Amino acid sequence: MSKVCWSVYGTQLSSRLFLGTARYPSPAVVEQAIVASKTDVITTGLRRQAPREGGGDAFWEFLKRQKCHLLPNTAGCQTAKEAITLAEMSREIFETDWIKLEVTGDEYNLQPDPYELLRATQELINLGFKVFPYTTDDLVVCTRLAELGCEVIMPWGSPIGTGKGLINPYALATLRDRLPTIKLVVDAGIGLPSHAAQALELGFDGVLLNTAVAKADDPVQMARAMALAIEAGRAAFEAGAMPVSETATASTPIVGRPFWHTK
Amino acid sequence: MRVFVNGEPVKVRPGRLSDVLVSLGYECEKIAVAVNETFVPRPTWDSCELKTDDRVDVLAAIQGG
Repeated sequence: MSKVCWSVYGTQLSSRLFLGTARYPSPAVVEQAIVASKTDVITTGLRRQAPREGGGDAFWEFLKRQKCHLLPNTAGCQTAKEAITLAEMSREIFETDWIKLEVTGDEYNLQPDPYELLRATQELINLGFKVFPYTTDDLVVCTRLAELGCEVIMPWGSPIGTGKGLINPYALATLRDRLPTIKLVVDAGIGLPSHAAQALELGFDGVLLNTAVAKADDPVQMARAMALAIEAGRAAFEAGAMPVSETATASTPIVGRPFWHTK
Repeated sequence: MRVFVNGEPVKVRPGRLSDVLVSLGYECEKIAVAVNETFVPRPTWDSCELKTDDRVDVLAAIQGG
């Protein structure tokens, strides 16, 4: 596989895939999936810890083995204040100023709350964080996030965990067109490698996914498939797609075609 | 006095956050703490005096999406 280089907030990355670490059948499988995916960014979370549980020591050992950049999330937060507090706790624990900012506005489809998201983004940037906001595909919200100073924005393809793929390619293509200097990562909703490839074909810089790999029958094989699809999608974007036409155009030259096709 | 740790009421001796955490059995380096939904950086645990009914959240790393 060719080495793909891009950067986020000044950090060079060799993969365009950010991989979640949750919901796998076993710790061994997630490690194998990370290797197969060739990712160099994995997401993590925080939860309440009972005394003498060891502070997640086993998980820390796992994280150290991966040699990946960590992207902690604020999953479960419903207000800017909650998300800011959790981000500060994440920064201390994970020793990174990266934060995947999630502020949920609707529990039914886990849709981001744009108002709280913008408030939290502003405050976190003031506090020195490098914010990776998880957002809907709304152009105005994404534009505001860019204006606040986000170098990367992560609109959903579809709601988290649905596997429905890119349900509004028009909106995503519009974001690509209107925010040409922003790193765009489709976050959530990816179910198949073809969905990931489609995001890259649209000119997105990467994808973040978890369940599509974790809940596949064979997560390791699916991780490999995602890596291949992302590489293919990016190559296609760089190659430039042919123009779409409403009418057929013969591929075979018509000069000298056999007589039985003419009247 | 009573405080709430991760939502559960517990009886602790009045004192500093750092002492209360030790008395509860938290020894690991890799935890982060908030009191009343406000982050308390580790270097300030010694100067953070807990009060009755304070809400203490002790968090650690887990897998995430």
